Amino acid sequence: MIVLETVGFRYEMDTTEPVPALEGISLSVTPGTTLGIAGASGSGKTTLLQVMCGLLLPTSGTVRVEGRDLSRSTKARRRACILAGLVFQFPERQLFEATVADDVAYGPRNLGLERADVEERVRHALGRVELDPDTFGRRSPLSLSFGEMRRVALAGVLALKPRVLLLDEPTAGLDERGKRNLEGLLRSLHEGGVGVVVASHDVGFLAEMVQDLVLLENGRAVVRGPVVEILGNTSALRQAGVAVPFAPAVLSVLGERGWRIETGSMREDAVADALVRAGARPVR
Amino acid sequence: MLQATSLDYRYSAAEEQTALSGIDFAANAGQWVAVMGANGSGKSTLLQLLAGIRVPSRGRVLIDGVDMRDLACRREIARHVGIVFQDPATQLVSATVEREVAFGLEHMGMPAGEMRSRVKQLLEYFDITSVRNRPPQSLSGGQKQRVVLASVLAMEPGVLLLDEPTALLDSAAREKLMGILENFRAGGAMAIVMATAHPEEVLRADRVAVLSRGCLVADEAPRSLFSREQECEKWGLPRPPAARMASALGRRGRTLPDSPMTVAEFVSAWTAASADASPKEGPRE
Repeated sequence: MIVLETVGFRYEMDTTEPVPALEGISLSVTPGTTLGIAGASGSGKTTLLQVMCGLLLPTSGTVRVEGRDLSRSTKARRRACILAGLVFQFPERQLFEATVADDVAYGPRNLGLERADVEERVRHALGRVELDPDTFGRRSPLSLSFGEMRRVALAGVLALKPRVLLLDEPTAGLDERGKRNLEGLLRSLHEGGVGVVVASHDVGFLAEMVQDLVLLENGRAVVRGPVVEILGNTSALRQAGVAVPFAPAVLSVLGERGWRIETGSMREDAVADALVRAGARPVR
Repeated sequence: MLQATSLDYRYSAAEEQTALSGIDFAANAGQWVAVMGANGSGKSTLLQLLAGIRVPSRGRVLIDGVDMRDLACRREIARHVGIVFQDPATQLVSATVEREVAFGLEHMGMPAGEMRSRVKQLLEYFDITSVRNRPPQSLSGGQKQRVVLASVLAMEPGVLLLDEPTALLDSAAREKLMGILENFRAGGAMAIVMATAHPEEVLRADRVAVLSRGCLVADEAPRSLFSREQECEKWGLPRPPAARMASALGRRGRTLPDSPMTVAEFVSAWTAASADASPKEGPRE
């Protein structure tokens, strides 16, 4: 649904910066995708998300959403922002209405929907992020905790019924429970046919959440593939300035010591099963 | 030395719920204390009370035996206590990095020559000399944070408070900050109090204080806390991935020895347990 072909992006105001923010990125995202984007600070994660939803236009290459080139049509670009919903890194910068309900209603109202339809979408979206529309709906977004603001910002995007959800560092500032709730929500959205793209330096979260991973280094996609393979390549992770999560780190050390541990996933449960299998039986 | 006794705090008189209640807490020079707790448990509020930014509704905060309320003004408090917020962008005020680092010293009235050499030292120590003429707001997150640290530490405070300082940093910047804090601890002159959500960082601390709904529910060695799975779950605390994986194996009937907390510890515990399971058929070299 979103197709990037050799996309490059250079921030115009930053003429002193010798390297472009993005260069030669080709990838596609469908509603069935769960894609993680990892990389050091300044590697281009946020820029990539903003290009994918048409918030920024590429300075070279093309971005097509549902077949339409975003650089050629303002209409296509406007539509792209609805089909591909972006949740920013700092939710408090995304909230501006007087009440939570109005904030979530902002997008649907702009679509020109009927009042009843807007209300229904607001209730449904707040329900999805586990905020009671009756109690939270009337509060000011500024009175909320950080985790609650995050959820309101997410609800505002969900109310547009995006087919692909783009999230920028969604776990920053969330506690353990918040992370688990977010993971559950993203999983159920994905099962309902929504594509999920997450840019994050929380690679442990990506290991649990996504099927595919792109590693960015200075704006280039240095590796892309199934998350289990890329996380298994610990030297590529280090090279890209990405912390090696626990499970791949352990498997890599055990591998060096001659243990062969087969796992089809880097999720905690899958790795625990693999470790039990390997430890319970003679190896090699 | 920093000491807080029976601290209560409520955000407004009308509010029934106290944000913090009955907190007793101390940190000595040369100690690194981590503060953990779920969102809304009171971590930031506690740090702000310890920094003198908020005044407790009840109880006292003493710095080297002096009640914080008796310190005449902010400027005097800043000589004793430095605080670094989660988002460094919120505490940068000057037009250039160099002026930012000199800001506090200027207000203290330090002679120009002494100030120049102190600033030069700090810029070098924090690896920000090359960006000294740039506006702080134009720097990366990790650089901004080192600018804030440099300007806070310019005052040579005896207590350094950090509120989730690595939340916005990548792994390289995080390691760099941890190295800097290790050095300060080794220097022995400073008490470090750091709120964090990362168990790997907590393991570096001497102690961890745990807040739950505004109460101090634990204050102990990090390893001892993380080996208590049920309490961590109850208080909403993340445990080190090694400890979680060991629990996951335990649920599968494979209990590992020695409660591993790091990758290296996990590998040796798992290897030992697996050798027991099949003693004659371990891995071949």
